[in-house]
Amino acid sequence: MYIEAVNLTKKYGNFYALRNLNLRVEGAKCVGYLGPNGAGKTTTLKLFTNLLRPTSGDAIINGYNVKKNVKKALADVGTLIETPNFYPHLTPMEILSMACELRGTSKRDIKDSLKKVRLYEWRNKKVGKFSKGMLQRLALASALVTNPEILILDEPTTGMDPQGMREIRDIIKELKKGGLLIFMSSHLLPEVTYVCDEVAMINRGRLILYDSIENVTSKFSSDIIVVEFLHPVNNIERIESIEGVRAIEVLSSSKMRIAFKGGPETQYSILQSLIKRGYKVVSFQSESLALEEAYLKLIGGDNIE
Amino acid sequence: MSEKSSAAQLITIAKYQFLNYIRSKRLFLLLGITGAMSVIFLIVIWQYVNPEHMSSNEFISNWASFSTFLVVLSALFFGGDAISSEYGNKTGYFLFPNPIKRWTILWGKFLASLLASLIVVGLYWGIAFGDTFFVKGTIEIEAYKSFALTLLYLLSLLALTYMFSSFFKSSAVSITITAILYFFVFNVVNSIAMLTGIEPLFSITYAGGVIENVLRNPYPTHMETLQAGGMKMTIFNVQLLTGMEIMLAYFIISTAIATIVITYRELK
Repeated sequence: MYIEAVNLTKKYGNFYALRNLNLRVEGAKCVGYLGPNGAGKTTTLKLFTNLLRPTSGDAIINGYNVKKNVKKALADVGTLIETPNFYPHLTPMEILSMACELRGTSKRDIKDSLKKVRLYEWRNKKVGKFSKGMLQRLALASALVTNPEILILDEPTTGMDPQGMREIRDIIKELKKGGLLIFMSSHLLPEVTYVCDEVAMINRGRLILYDSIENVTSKFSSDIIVVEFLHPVNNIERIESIEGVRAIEVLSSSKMRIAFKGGPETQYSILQSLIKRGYKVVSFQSESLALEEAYLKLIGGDNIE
Repeated sequence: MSEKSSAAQLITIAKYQFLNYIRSKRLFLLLGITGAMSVIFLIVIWQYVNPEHMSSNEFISNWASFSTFLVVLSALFFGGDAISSEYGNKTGYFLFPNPIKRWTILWGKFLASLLASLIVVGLYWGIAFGDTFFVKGTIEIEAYKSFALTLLYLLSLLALTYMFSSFFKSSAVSITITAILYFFVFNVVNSIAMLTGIEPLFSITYAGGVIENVLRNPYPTHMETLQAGGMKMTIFNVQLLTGMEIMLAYFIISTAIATIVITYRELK
């Protein structure tokens, strides 16, 4: 299973919403799709889901061109694009039944899907009364109910409260274990770090990075860690003498920023040394997310979502 | 995953669209209006029309005159926002990314609209036939022809409504513009045509005149010229075949355009 963009271009007048995108995402994994406002993320997803028609190039899913053979291309794809609306007078049960009937799949998973997104108790209520967060949950249920092998999700946690966001992320993580290919756009970098295996970044309609989160982390790790101790620390010199430590900035009596030289291994050895020297470390973490570092370095001064 | 046939998908779309008409109470509302109008007609005809010197066709023409208005109402109720709402209300984000061809969505919805309209128009004509049979004891073949022409008019007007619906994004704009067109623009165009002596062959409401004309005996002449003072006016009576051709042309052209528009229109 794979999705592939081949010289995929979408142009509105003289403006390129997407320019010659070449990207192939294959296998059971979750790929985060990042970029600033107007970078072309949603345009890409809409081209893959037959909502837009490419100006040139091809959006291909499992070997089928979406434009030329939409039925075969989208046969095994569940989608959530923006926050869709549903027919307000129908119930979630009916909406999901419709999705199953359109795809010719069994309706046996409807209740499970609704339970998964915590809408089961609302299954017979009219959708017109639902909040944005509930609509988003229903949209995810409709993407999942037919058990697709590929999921295309556009900012799936939009409009949700923190608990809802966490639940959706956990659902996506679970789905990943089930062998699905998930391609999701997001403007939340921690979300992508938490959920995804790989990340693709675009800016101004062009792909600027596609790599595993692991590689991005090692390439763009921050060289500053923020350490918090259980008790106030008096003898800073003992910490400064640890190998790899470059400088220390005291933030409070029990909290400091440590600049170091090296990668994750140095980070680990600093932590070990601190503990060996009897410091009671409460928290030890990079000042910023590696993905955020990568994002800021690659996209630079552009407007960041 | 097995691929579902377009015909089966069309039926699914029609089924849920029809369910939406029931749940939104549109169908019941129009049935209510039809029922109320029928009761008013029954009372008015019973009170003010003396059927003794009327033929069965003349009697039922009292009913037929209102049926064109009912067809317009049905087209607006069931087709006015059928496609535009997919774009304006964002329901298209749920429907379009399915493995389904866009024309299937259009025709599935059209089928549901047609079915709902047939129920409304069928109820009205059922009452009309019942009343005529009760009063005159017979229903002549022309009455059935008038009913069949009403259905053809419904088909073409619904197609035209779907075409307009596929152009617009806002449901309110789509319904309003279509209503203005049916209730005012076509009638104004017909009047101007009469004054200028040009037969309004391009007007669907002109073609709808066959519904009443077919009940008249003899069938009205094609052209009548009236002269009053310095003013000369030509009254055109649409001929049966011409009327049918206009309606068929509207149906074919409108559905073709609507199919092309929905196939290529993007959901931005």
